[in-house]
Amino acid sequence: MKSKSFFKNNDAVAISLGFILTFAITVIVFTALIISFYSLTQYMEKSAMRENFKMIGGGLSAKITAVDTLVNFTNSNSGIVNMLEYEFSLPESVAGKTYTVNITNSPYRIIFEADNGARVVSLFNTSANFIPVHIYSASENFAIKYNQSSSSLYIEEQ
Amino acid sequence: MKEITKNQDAQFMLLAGFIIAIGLVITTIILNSIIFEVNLAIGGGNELSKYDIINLVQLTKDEFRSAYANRSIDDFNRQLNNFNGNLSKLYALHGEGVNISWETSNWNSNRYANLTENGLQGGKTNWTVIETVRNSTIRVNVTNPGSFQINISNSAAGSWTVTPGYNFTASVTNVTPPYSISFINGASTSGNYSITGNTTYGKNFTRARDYVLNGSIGFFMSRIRTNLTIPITVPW
Repeated sequence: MKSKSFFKNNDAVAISLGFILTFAITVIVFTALIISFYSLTQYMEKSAMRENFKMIGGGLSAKITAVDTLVNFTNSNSGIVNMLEYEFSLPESVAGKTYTVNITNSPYRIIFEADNGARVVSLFNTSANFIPVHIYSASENFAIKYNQSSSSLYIEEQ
Repeated sequence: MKEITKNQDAQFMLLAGFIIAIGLVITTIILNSIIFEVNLAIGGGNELSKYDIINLVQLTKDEFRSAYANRSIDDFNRQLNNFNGNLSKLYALHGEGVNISWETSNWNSNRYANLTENGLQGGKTNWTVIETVRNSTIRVNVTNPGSFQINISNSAAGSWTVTPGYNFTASVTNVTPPYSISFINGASTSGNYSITGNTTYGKNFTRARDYVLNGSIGFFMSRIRTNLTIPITVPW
């Protein structure tokens, strides 16, 4: 068949074949749409978790730094910290999934990890010694405290 | 074929199809952000302002020093009681609890501060009290004379080191200004001092210290509980 005649040819396939083709195409497009929507949901879930972890991490490092500043200020005034507690809460789950927070002291990092592979690292710094801790989101309330006798900051579950 | 291209009966259908397509795109975008928002789980809450507490400590220090100027323990206690009451009310308006307590045992039993930088036994033992002095009068009362010395020095024009006895008062005349006044071996003794004079910039100054009083500052918010004890030297 010459190309000219192919472009000018207005005869189509049989109605039954046309129906099958249309149906098949519809099914394929619909399936592709559903699959892409599902993966989009998954992607959104992960990126929402990452955003969340970044926010929680930023907040947590600001809290640790605030406590550290107060300790530092008191020490520089030759004072004693009789009690210093800063409570904070972590959401039990983010995007419907629980997660763990690993706070390390060399280097100073807050590492968030969830089962679906979402992982975010936030940085912080303290001048007082910080005792590393691994916390699980299942218990929601925690407090940053200071121990005067060992001059160290630690996180305790409430 | 010609009829098909010229047939305009279905233009509303086409328009409807187009609108539906745009509608779908918009719905998808909105849905996306809804899914994202639903997944967010950050809650608000009262945050600690560390500057609030630092400010509070500074206020307390100033009040201690101002109250000490009354020269009687009863008046000192009265002024601080007032201060504590008013401060609690002010902070309560912001939803913060504040409590100041103090103890004056050192003052009560005339236990003078160490002659270190911060007035405590473990403080810096060799330290400079003031620099760029033009003229000054030094009065020191040392409880345990011996190794404690006062060094008045001008790096270009020599220095004068004196070992004060129990009561020592002198106007510095034998060192060319500007000079600095330093305490050496301050940890070896306790005592009180008062240095007055003026600097090369023409400003009058007073450096004096009698006692170290302890002030405890309690600060409470919904999520924060803190209690700090700060040694406060008076009158300076």
